[in-house]
Amino acid sequence: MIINLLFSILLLAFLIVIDLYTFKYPLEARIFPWLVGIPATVLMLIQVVKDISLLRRREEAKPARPTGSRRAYAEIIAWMVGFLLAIYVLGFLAGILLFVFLYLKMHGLSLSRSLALAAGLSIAIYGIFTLGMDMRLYPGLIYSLYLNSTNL
Amino acid sequence: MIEVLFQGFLTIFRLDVFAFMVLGVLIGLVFGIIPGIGGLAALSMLLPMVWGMNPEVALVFLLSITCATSQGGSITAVLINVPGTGPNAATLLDGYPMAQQGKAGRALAAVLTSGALGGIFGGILMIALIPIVRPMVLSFGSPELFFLVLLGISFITAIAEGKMLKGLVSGGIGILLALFGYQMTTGIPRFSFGTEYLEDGIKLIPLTLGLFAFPEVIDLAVGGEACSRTGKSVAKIGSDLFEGVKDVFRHFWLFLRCSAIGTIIGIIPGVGAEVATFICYGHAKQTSKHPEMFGKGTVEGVIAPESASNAKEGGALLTTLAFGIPGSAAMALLLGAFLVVGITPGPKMLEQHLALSFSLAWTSIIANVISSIILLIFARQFVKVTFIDVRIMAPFILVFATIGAYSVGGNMFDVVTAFLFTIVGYGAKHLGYNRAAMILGFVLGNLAETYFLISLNSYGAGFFLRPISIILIIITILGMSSDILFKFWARRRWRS
Repeated sequence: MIINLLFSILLLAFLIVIDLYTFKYPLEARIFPWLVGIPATVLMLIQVVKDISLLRRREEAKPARPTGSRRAYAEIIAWMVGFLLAIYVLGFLAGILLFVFLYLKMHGLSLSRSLALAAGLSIAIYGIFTLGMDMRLYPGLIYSLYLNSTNL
Repeated sequence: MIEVLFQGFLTIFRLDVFAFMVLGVLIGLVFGIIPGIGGLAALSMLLPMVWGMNPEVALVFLLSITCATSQGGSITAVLINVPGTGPNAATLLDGYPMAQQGKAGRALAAVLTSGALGGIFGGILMIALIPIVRPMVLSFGSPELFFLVLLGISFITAIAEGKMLKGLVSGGIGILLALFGYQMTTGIPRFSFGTEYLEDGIKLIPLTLGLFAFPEVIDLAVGGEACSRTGKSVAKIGSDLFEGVKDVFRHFWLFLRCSAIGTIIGIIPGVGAEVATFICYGHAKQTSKHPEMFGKGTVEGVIAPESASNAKEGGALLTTLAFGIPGSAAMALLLGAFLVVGITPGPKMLEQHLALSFSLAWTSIIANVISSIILLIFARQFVKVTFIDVRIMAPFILVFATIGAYSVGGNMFDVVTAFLFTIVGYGAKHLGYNRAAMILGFVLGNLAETYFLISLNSYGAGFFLRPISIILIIITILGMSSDILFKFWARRRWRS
């Protein structure tokens, strides 16, 4: 499985970067990261070799993968990235309202139920986190720009 | 010691602590009942909520969730033939056939009574063992503590369930992630890669959410569906509940044996609850007067796994508190919760927080009893939860997990960190790497470095030659190689 190999290479790259980066620290700060990092890198290298040999033999022993099409994976990843962007641009409350409404509507819920659930969740979050826990939720890029422009 | 034990008991009945225990039980039951969202996802999502909470309230809350999850899962196993969590798989072998024969109420009562009594058994045994274990742990110096932490990390291989190489790498990555940020002795910010954000290190909550909660969102959105769509129907509970309670006392000796097996398996780190339940199911069948009835709806088949499953938590909690070695993946997350509320997990726990340790032992008893009572009364109502389309739940989980990541420090980078670790978490979940081992390494990583450097500075390079250190090294090596040794022994036996 190519995915196995790619994931192992990703982890191996992370370990190699950490091992190399450790060089720049004094002995006391680098001894433990090396004690862990070097053996982990060696083990990871063995895993990568195993994955390559498995790929070459094209063994059918596939790991347990979730059911679902590639399209379904692409969709949920797009939704997640979209949600992150929505929060960044619109802030938490508006971002959540927009994301939950669109998600539910696109997944077959009626307009009124989607809107009610999205609004209910946003209000609940505002109540719990802003009013209850006195937490300042991220207001979003647009709101921050607007505030800056009015200050000017 | 008796006074502290009593103090721990009284803490449970403080209004705030008790209210959060009941809330934890309710949340745990719901998460246990919904197939596909286990206790681990529930714990990781609720971990941010305990930020800033009183440690007693926070830890009792999270432990109650862990205890109730398994109980909730057994209800769906009996009523709709779907195990809510892994360990409940053994329960459905006889629980569902009983329900099909019109004995669902009896099966449920037997499941819940044996579960509650199993929890009580495990908790009492834990309380009894604390005075024995405590002086042993307190006599340890920093070299012994280092090797104890190393032993904990070595059990990553046990948690890794047969994938030793990937388990060790996962644990190693977890330790390295823990080393990001300011180093204790030199004050140098390590692995910050020039960014201010990483100078404070990686935070536990975004990491946990990325590894556990967000991958569940993907799986729910891609593959989840409501039980109603699979054509499952809920069996009628009936009115023979009291018969089920009496069944446990009719087979009390079986209950005691299975609870003892469950507690012992719980003490051994890394052996999953599934192992305990299936061992006890097999044991019940072997020792039964009518083994041919197993799988066809015998009550012994539900008493054995349920008593073992709940008794296991007491054993797992003992090793978690006394040695800082989590007995299960859920305990590894609970160990992380200690850090969130400002308590350093590990061998010092019984010295500095003995009353809290006892409170947690009492929680493992009382939370089991409360969840059994709630389920006995409201089982049918709870099962309706499984008929919600879980794909619709995905955005709600995503929203709460995202706010959880943000709530740690009010920093959007924490949210980005959680999203980035989703790649690692999802890959690890489906490609055989071990997320629990990563969290265990992350939680114990800094502690290991601290003890290592203190030992090296105080005793020189020969710190590993102290007698207890040598014993701990031998146990570590044996533990890590036990799988290989067992296979070698089994092969030789088979040949001969």
